[in-house]
Amino acid sequence: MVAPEASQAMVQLADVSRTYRMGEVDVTVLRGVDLAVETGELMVIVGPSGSGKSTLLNIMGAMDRPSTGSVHFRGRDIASMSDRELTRFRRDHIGFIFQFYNLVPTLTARENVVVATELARDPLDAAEALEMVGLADRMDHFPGQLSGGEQQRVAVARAVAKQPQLLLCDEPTGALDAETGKAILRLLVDINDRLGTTIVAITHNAPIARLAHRYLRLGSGRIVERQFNTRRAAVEEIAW
Amino acid sequence: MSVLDRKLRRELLAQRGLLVSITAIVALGVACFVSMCASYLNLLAERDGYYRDGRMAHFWIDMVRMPRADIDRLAHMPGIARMQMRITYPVTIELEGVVEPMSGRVLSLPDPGLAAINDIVIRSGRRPEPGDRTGVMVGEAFARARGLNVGDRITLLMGGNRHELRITGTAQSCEFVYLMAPGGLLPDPKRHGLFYISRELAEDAFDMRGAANQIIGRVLPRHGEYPDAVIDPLRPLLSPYGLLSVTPRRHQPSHRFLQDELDGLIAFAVVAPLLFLGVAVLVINVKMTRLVQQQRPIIGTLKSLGYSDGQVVWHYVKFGLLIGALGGAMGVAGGQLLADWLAVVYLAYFEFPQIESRFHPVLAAVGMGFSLGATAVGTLRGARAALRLTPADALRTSPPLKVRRTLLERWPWLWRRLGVDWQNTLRNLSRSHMRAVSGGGAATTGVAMIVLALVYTDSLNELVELQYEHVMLSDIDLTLRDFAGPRAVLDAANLPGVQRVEPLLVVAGTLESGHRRREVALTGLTEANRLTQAIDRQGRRIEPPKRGLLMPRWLAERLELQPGDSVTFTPARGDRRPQRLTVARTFESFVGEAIYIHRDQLQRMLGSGAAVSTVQLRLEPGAANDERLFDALNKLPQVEAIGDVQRQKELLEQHMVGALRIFAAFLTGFAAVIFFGSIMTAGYIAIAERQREIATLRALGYGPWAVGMLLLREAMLLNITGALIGLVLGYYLAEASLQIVATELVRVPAVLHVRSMVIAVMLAVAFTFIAHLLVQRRINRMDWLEALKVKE
Repeated sequence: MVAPEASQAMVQLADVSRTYRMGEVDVTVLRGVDLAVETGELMVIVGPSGSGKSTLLNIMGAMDRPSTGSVHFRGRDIASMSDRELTRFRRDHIGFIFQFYNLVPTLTARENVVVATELARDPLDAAEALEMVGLADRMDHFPGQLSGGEQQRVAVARAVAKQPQLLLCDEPTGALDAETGKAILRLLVDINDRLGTTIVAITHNAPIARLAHRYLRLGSGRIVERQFNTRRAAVEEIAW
Repeated sequence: MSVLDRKLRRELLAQRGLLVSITAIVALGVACFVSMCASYLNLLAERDGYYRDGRMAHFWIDMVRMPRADIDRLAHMPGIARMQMRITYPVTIELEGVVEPMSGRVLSLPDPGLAAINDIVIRSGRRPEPGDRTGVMVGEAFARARGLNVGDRITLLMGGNRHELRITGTAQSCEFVYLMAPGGLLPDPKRHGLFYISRELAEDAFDMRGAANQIIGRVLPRHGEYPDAVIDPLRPLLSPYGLLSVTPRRHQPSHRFLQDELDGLIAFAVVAPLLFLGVAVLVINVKMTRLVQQQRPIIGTLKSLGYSDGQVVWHYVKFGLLIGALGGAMGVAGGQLLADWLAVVYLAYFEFPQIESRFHPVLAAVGMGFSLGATAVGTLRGARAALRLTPADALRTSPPLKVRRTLLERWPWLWRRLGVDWQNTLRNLSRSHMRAVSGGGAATTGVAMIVLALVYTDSLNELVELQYEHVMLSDIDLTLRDFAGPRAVLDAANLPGVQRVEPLLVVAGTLESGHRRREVALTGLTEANRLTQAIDRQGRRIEPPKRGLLMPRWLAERLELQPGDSVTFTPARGDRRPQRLTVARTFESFVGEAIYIHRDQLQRMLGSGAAVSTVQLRLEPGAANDERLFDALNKLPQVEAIGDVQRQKELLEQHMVGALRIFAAFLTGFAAVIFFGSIMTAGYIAIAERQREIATLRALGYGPWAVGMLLLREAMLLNITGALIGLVLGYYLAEASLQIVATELVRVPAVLHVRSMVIAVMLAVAFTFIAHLLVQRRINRMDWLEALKVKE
């Protein structure tokens, strides 16, 4: 079933719920979420921890499947894909940025990016991607030799180098101090502006929502607020 | 090289110590397999080639005397391919400047131009020409041991006369690959040799003109190893010639010893690698499970990037396969070197012209296969966990370690008494059963190996003690040419330095029970015999029964006999009528196949004045080096062979001590490798996993050694428990392997002394402690302040 507005939306979630079985009890993390991510937009999803943000992001990124409901990516039903198809899908379309960077400690910055480009169909050159995030001179350093902000830049380069259509960011500034965090946000806004990459970022930092074209607030597994920013703030304007 | 392979390489290099220890375990397993199997194949190929080229006989028939012309009457018998006659006798030897008694076997050479059965390989010089009555070809081993060369002179006592002969050459033969001295178990090339002479000389010396006393023959290929169906019908035809014994190849001493060695090699080739690879599987399993657990976020990230489950699992499986490939390659190379060395060692025990150590590509492939297979199996459990993880799960922080209530907590009064330290130790051990099994299993295997070496040492010592301090108490045994009267004993008593003299009456013959038949010798004893006696398992003397046979249990079992059953015995000498005898009792016999009977009964059976066939001497202290005694012994005309019993004991002890020392050193080294591999894996994993706990304890004021004690306590508990199980396992393993290598000639009882058990456990404790020092070093160097900051 293809929803009518799916022709414009990049990602379309309809009535998505997700329940986990934890020991003896079922825990429902998402309850009937409807959501459309438009091509080229920068969307921020805010909400306290436990509100279901990460689960929502994982479902959009084909890392997890909804218990009920449908997920379409450019009209293709990804909720019913096989594991193999999901892997293929992630490889071709999705970029991820994690709170704790998740770099392979035994690989250099450049090699960490190559991990992604080796798989991609039409990747950027790893060096080029690192240059873009301002790490041209730290390419042969191991993660242990980089600061947190630098590590997150490597992670951004790794995600961007694949040239994904959708870039998903899970608390991208969560482990960083305010200044470093802002630098990363600047990078993300810049990628969205210049490359036109669609970005969905989740955060418990409400001020970050002001950077987005559109933001959602999640509470107890439901979308409790949807807002367009008529005027997007510049990174310098926000503080937390 | 892909970046993931680079990751793999760096991770492996970062854990060199661990890698080396696990790889070493794998390599040892493969090396054992390759070396044992290669030695087996080398020996087998050498033997088969030697047998083929020398046309090794399928059967040997000994008789008193048979005219050569009469052989034609047998040649048409079905199944016979070829037969050949020769003259062979035991001889005593005299060499200038040698006082100790030497014995040997003399064989007549076949006529030239004949494709001889049991053909000799000439090592130097040439054969004596036909008709040469002064030339002798000497067995290579004896010549080497005595430094004899072509042209040297040697005196043989043949047929009661001294023959001074000139050495024309040296030779080896496929029928004497393993040449035991009479009454002994080991080759004694200094004291016992082979002598080939012309037919004419043999006929003259033994008064055998136109006759011979042995037939050697080959059967048609289809009768192969079991020529009985062909040779049994010969018996009635041969009995007019004084048939003494019929020996199919499988009972021929040299062949039997070689076969026993081959069987033993195969048994070890199977058991040893199983132990090593089993431990390797356990250790790798623990390591991989931990690695995957540790790299959950990386696995999640890779999957989020679009790496497939297959790619991720393959990445981790490669970790194991690399260890497998490395260990396999080292094992194959090491095994080949070991096999080369064993080929040299075997050449000292077995008389082959050469033993070529070949490279066997199939073994290398199978060894590599075993090693890759074992490491793949060990890797699979951990790698499977990587497969099961969905990318979203992998990215979630792993759930806190489950700590189960331990079994002991069901008894609170006991649990409370343990104190916090031990409670903590037990809880930590119960965290992962697999790890406990792996750690304990490694200790069990390690100690089992040490115990194996100790049981062998204890058992062989026990065997030598039983045999030479309870069963055979004589110093020298004189085998007489013919049965003699009591006078022989009196003669011997007058020899210088002799303290005690006892007669034995040994009669060879055939024992039949139903369709089972066996060539045996009955040893006649009386209550007065003290230098030879049967003993029970506790070393207590068993009196010879008044009537009936006292038979080794294994032989009774083989003939399906029980006490009370009756058997038929046909003596090979004297009155050759079959006699019915009862099995009076069976006993545990460890060396040889002696069946005891009361001498009076045996004498009645033979129906002659025969009373003595062997005279046993007990010497006064110091007399063993008395030249006058040996001089006198060598001059006794009626003596066919002189058995130096104490010399056999010495030889046995020498060989045993040497061989066992090497064996024990190897096994102890192997055990050390296993202990180190296991303890370092467990220790390093514990440090990585419990960084925060360790850091917290350090922050609380615990010193590094106090923290190390936590891990040492766990390792000790696990390893000592494993060691105790290993004591039991090792004993049974040793017992089983001793049973496998038990032969008709030697059956070693499994013995483990308390002292050895203590040694094994102490070694286990020592290894554990030393291996822990490496773990401790890592704790000492740990940056615990940094560890406190590390996020979970």
